[in-house]
Amino acid sequence: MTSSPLIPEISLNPLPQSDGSCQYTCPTSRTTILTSVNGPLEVRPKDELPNHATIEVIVKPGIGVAGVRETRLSSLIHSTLQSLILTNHHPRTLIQIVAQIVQAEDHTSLPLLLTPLLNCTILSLLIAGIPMRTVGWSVHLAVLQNNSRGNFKTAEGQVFKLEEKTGGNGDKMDTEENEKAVAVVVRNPNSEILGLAKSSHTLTFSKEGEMLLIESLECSQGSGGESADGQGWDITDFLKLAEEGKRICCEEGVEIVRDALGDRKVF
Amino acid sequence: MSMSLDSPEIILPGDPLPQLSPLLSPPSTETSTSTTDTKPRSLRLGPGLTLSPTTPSTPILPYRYGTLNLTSHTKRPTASILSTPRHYHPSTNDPVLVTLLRTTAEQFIVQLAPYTPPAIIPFENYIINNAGTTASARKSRPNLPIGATIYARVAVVHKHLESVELSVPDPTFGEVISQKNTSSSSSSNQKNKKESSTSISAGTTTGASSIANRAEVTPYILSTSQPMTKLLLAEETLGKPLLSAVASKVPFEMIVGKNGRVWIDATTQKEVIQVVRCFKEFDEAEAWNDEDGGLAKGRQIVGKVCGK
Repeated sequence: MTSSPLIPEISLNPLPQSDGSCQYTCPTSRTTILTSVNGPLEVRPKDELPNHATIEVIVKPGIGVAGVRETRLSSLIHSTLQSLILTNHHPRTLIQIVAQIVQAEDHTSLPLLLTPLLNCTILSLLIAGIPMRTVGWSVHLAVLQNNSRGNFKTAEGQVFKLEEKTGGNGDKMDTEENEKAVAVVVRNPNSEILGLAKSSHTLTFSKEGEMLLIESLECSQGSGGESADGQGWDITDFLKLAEEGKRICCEEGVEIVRDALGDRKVF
Repeated sequence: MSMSLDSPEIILPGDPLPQLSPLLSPPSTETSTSTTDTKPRSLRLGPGLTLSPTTPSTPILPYRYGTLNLTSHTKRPTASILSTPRHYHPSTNDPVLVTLLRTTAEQFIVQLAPYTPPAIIPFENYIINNAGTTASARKSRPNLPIGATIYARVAVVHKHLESVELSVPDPTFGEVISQKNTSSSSSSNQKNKKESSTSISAGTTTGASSIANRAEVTPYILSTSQPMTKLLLAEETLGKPLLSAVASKVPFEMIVGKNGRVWIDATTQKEVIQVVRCFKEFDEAEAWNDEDGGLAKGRQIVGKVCGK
């Protein structure tokens, strides 16, 4: 599975008792998530919806007890999945999703955890046979200052510049020949690269290219605190970035899902 | 879409299905070529497919991952998505093995699968004897102990109904009792002996002689995964490697419920356990996923459990 440096390690149905489960390891940050999906189950009367299934997302932290951060993550996942799952197929039932953070570089960082959580959850939903409208995939992109001279290590194809449309194999060292300040984008960064970043964007797209989730934040370290107005990124940069994110999700992401599920025998 | 050619292509939820377009016969009077206003006239949609007006090429949306199963040569073409989720989704006419939870004034409350809402068997759906009279009359109402295993058929499934309705339509269904145990406790009014629907035997048939003179044997109810259940139900095709391997060592009887429960009976308790272990190990090893359909793994397990 580790043939390409950008293909996540996916293990399907590691939990024998759940309806669908998946373990997902991000190829670059090594964040490992284990999710389990059960459903449709009997729903608690107070959560029962007359025409829809109730979706419950529980995020279990890798360290300590669940708090506001986990609630935030689960609400983000919940709102993303709400538009993917056909809840009207199983009214008055419960679809329960439990995500356990197994390993993470930084257990406190929302953006580092969100993309693996979403991708892992979507794979386990597919395996569990939960009715879904379409398939989504999530990617985390970090925008770096052009002049950030951190000598971080990246995998091949992980870095691209916003100017070149093709993206792909742009190396970070090439930026010095470019006079214009060109933002460098690293996909699925690890915590070290995220620490140097100017802004971080978690984007989720459906297979058809609909935007399902944008979770952007400005990182003070990279920008040196220069933009106090909360606009740590340029809108034109963001649009280019979103375009690239869409390409990654719709082409590479869906390919990864297809390859992972294609190994399984169906009869 | 770089699938290998030997395996059928995996369909993901939301994939367009242009191969279904020719089956959607357009209205006879119009000759419009736009696919948006063609309605599926004769195509039957099986599990995994639903109608959706927004899908690009055809108004049919796959909502599960799997492979497309299309029978177009018959009079009424059908299409469905073949997949084996672990969760059992009841559909009409499925044979199931259920456990009796409690009895109310009009129905049995039974359990199909753990953590799911209970299913019901109304008494009027419970045919008790060979004469085919219904058990709706109070005095002829079946009296089953709580915890009894009933082999039933799914009668009504509707997502908006309170629960799945089952029926016991004829004497091949009913409470599942070991043939031996029935004769010992014949005083009870449980006359609906279940003739096992699937009986596998090695060499000689499992005649009355082998069952009559055996010692007290408690049958076993094994929970299996959905792929394993499908394999056991398809005894002539998918399940043949495993079933014939087991049957060549141990004669046994089994009843397979599509809800992932298998009732196993044999002449001795040891043989029951052996069969159960064979199935269980095969299931836990996920041997159905093997290239050869579990042939090698099945032989290996049978050799280990039942001896050479």
